[in-house]
Amino acid sequence: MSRWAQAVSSLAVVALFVPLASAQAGSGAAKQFLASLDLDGNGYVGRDEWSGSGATFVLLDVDLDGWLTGPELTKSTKAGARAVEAPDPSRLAVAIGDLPDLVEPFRRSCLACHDQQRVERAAKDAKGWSETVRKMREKKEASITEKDARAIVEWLSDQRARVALSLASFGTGDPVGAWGMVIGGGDLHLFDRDRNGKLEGGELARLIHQRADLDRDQLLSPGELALLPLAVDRRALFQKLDRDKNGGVSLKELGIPAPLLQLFDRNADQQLERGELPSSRRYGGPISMILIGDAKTALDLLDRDHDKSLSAAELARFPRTLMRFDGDNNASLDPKELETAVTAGRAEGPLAAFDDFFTRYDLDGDGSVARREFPGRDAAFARLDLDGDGVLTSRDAQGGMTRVDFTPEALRWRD
Amino acid sequence: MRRFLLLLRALAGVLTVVAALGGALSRASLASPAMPIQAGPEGCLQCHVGIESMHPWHELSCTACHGGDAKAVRKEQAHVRPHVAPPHDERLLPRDFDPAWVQFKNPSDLRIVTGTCGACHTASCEDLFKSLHCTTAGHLSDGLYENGLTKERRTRYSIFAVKDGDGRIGRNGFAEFPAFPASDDRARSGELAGHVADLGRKSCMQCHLWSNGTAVRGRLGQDGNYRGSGCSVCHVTYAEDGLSRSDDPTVDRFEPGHPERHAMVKAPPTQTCVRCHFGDASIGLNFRGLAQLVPGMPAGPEVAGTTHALQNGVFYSNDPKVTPPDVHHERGMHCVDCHTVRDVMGDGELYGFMEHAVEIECTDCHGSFDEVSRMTTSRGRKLDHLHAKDGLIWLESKVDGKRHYIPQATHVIDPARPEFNAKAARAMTPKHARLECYTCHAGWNANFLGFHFDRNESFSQLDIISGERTSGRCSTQEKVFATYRQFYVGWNDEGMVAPYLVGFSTMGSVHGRDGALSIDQALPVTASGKSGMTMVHHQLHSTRGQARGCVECHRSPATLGLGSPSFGLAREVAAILDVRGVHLVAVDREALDGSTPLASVPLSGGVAVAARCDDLQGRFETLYVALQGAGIAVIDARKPAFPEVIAFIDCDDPRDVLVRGEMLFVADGRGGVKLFDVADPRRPRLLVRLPTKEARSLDLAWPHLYVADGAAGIKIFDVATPGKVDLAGHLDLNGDPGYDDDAHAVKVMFQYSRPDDGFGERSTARKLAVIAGGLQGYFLFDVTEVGEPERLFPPGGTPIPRTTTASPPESTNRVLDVQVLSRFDLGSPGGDIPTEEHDYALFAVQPLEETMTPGALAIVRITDPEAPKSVAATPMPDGAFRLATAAWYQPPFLRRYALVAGRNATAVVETSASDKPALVGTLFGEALRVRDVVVEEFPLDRMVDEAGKTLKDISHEGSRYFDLAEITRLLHVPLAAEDRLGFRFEEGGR
Repeated sequence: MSRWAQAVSSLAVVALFVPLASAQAGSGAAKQFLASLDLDGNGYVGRDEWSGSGATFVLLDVDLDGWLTGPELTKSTKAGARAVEAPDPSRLAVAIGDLPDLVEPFRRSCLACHDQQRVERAAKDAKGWSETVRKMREKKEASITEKDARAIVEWLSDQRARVALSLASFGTGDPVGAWGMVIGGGDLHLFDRDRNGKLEGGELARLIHQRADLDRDQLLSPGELALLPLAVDRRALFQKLDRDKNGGVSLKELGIPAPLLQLFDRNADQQLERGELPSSRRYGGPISMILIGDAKTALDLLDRDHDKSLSAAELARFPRTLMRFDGDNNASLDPKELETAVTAGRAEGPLAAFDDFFTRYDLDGDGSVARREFPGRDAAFARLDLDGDGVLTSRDAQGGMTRVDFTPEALRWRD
Repeated sequence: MRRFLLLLRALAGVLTVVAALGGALSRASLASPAMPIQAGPEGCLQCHVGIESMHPWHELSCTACHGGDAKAVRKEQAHVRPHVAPPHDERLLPRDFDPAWVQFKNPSDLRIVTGTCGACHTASCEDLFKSLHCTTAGHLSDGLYENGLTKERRTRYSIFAVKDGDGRIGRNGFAEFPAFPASDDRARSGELAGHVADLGRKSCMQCHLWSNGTAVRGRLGQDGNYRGSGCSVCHVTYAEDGLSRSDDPTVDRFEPGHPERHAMVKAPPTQTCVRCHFGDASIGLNFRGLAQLVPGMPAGPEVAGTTHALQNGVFYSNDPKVTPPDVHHERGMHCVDCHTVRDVMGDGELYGFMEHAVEIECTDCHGSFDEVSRMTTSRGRKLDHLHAKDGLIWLESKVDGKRHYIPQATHVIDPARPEFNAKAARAMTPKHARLECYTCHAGWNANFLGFHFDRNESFSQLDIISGERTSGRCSTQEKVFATYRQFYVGWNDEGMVAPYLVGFSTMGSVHGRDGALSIDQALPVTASGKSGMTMVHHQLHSTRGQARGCVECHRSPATLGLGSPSFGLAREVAAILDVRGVHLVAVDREALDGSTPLASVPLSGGVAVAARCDDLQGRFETLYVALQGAGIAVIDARKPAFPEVIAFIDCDDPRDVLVRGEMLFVADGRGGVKLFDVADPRRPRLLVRLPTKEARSLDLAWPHLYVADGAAGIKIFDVATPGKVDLAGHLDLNGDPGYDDDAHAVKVMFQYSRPDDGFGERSTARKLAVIAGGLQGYFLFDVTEVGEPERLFPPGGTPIPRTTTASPPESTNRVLDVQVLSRFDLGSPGGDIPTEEHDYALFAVQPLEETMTPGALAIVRITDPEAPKSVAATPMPDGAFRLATAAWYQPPFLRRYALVAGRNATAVVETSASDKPALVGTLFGEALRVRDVVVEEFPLDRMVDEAGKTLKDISHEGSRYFDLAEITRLLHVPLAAEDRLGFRFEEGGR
């Protein structure tokens, strides 16, 4: 069984245990669980009290201090519960990272007994390191050399923080969320070229590649590759993917990483529909009028035919966020329904975190943001209105790379 | 406007006028055979019986000076009546305004003085017309240059047009100055510069000898301001309350604005000079041990450490432990005992700046390192009131005749002399020959970084020059930051190192005719395209015998112009980094909760964000976002609604980023520290990689980079030369090399000395490192010498938790982040709690168990780092993981905030009162798992950056800030242990 399969199994066991305990004793379940492991009664579970694999210990030891505390076990059990629900190891691997290509002896034996921090600690001084190597060899793993061991420690140092982050994300509730937060929102608008309401094939590949290709050079560097929740050993992964050895992973070379797709693709149809993209209320799309907080204003802005109601056409840009308030299912919002929408929107909080500026504030859809559509201060509006024409248009957005002129002339206030 | 009153600075030395004028008057009177006036009894005295003799050195008749009809028996016939009704306000009368009436009112008025005083004192009057006291030229220059209204760093205007006229233009002299131009209300009205000229005409045109100032006769509430005009400004004494004590029975004794007596003095006392010199440059205040109040500071009769009566319409601080008087004042000397007649009344040249007009130097009386005083001015003119006796130099006061022993610098450093002072001898060496004496001996100064003026076009105000009420009311008394301790130096135009204070450097807001805000805290820009928020050299007039310590220059990058953490003015946009990416938010200063989100950049795994702000307005240019396990995303944020990722820097495990000048520093976890050249942010270039154990956080106090290195404590690298980076120091936090530290963050500040440490000695200055030590608490280290750090807190012997031997309970707090600053704490209105300037550290404290437990914002007073005092701890229900501070100016007060990164929001804690922090809301309600926050900021005391770029302009030609090479060299000067202390001047018992 692979180490990660062992880890999953361990978590599954924990997960099975704790829900039962939770049902019995509520918040005391974790303490009970802790007590069952805490053989010396010091309130913590040390490595010597842990009968499971070293890898699992590392997984649970969120702060990597070499001890398992109650909260760490609590978080882990929650994570374990999720693992039970979705036992696919690849999903777990995505959340917590993949194993590097370590030397086999280390994989087989060292981590079974030693957590990574202990290994690191031993490496702090020459004496400790020699002792560690000696103990490793005493385990009859003659194939591990000091050079190998040093490489392992370097790798551990490199990965420690990342594993901790992944574990923290995993343990606190939303394994999809950490990455899903940067791949949801308006991406359907941006990448669904064929407008079929879903991202598939090249659309999906382009989204993933582009989201990581921060410098827009069409190639993913090792660091950019690490932005994808795939690359625990980013160097190895990079070498594997960069088939043409041109120093970057192209769109074609990356393809659609299966683990990433699996994060979202609930029905396993190899494409992402709207419902599969993160649907947290925080990313629900444009509903900017709540920033103005006035149904009348919203109506004035959106009601182009002045019929005192918002037709489906007028709401075309807000189909999901607003049409759910169409209580009478007549495909339009009357003032009362709009009031409900605004009230609900206000309660939900601003939604359009990832909408761009115009999506967020161009309420009347005329391609520009007038002063009345912008809820900020006059000074903020003036600062954005670089051409001084009184509205924020694409001209004000262009030339982002050109230097902003802060000379007195350029700082002129425009009424 | 009082800021314009920088003239006061320009006129700094000049206070003296009169001593010499007295002498000159006397000499000229006796010498002039053409004197057209005669003394003798007149009919005037039948009414003005008992009136004092104005000019006792040579009796003059009443009408000889005042005109009028001495033979008339009725007042109406005797007195001169005005042809037109004169204004009863401070407007500037035209030069040709009703001469007879002007003469009658004040025979020394400059409009007619040529025919009165000038008839005998011809040369003095001619010089006087060209003096700074008359032209107010220096006064007018700084603000105009700093706002781009003039292109040259020198004066262009005078209050009235004036020409040199004598055919000789001396060094630093000008041939002529045109009159100050009228402002065109419509021209450039969209710019700050378009409003500054109006400011000058409405608030700054009373500070010269053509005017009576604001305290016109009959105006109440001007105690301390009452004075005459023309010669009488200096040579006629006014009482504090402006009331007459004359024996003349006809004088209204209840109407303020009359001379104290009908009598001239040859040498005016300090009391006369300070009728004008109380403005922003404050030399007249400093000299007397007074300081302008910090905004909001309680003061008054019941508040200790402040004046008990209004002077100049305000109270002042006068705490001798904080703002002791100049040693010369303390010994009973007056302004004119140093300043010569030419300093004050001019020497016939048209000068643009005070430093050109003043001829007296400290060395003229105190001698140099090599020789005793020659008893001449720096221009070789003999100082008649200095005398040598038995090898010692003595001064006889021009005002009261008192004799003062003048210590000689060369005696102080001569081991054979009784005056010898070993510490002084270490400092007063040829290496310091290019320092002005008052650089080291300036005891303190009130420095108000950032001023703000407001022009409201919905009101009208008197244009003092035109005499008309025009659109636009200017208000100016809006100080932003305040400090009495901070210290800056630079080069003056003589090539000497001198103390620096803020210049005119005024940001401005304008309300239009409809009352709506049309310009919001815009910062001035000079014609050369640099920031107009300048500093310039000053003679601070707070001289103390005990000098500052060497370290206050040689170990403080802030002193030399690289800026401090305390004077950053927060601007308009914040960048909030959460688990989803970076969110740019337009900040509403008046309602932070209502700030407006502009745009978001989706980024995965962000853990820290740093900003490069532009040099003119402090607005975002580039954001650098550390993405854990990946690298640094570089974002062009110049258009905050349309940010764009422009580059990506591969790193191993970035935890923190810091950008200074053109260098980006990355704390790359186990990958060490990386330095990148980001002169072109699109193409970052790796300069060097520094090995560390687990670099978590960074701070830069040039030339040293401080790295919070986790278990390895704090590592200090000298990064002055990126190609040759050395490990300069190491802080072992727990003091036990056998056990790990837990350094999370570090910040460095410089603590300047104070005039009195409570025991009569100048306090010790030091560079202080404040460390967030995770599970081990916080630490304070003296890092004045990075190679010899000293842990100040916890004191030696204090057991430090050992994080590697046991895991503490989850409730154990970890100190995760820190920010430092200096600030004033306002006292209580009743005076029980004094107003004091303190240093603070703000800590983000979070229990081990992060998921549910609240964190805290802890505020610790570290003024005395050996005995820090926790003054407040605010629970942060959402957790406290990282910290930023922001100081937004909401007129009339600066409001300070701590921005705390929590689980679901950026909590805003107002810390305007250090001991009463208040959680006031969130900055961006849409955030989720906030990692970091950074606010646009304009550093007011940062004149040079670490790339060597001069960030701010300077309004005085020939003066300049230190360049980076000079700064680096000065900061590397080795200092012996004894050099870290201040120097006390001993007088050898005299």
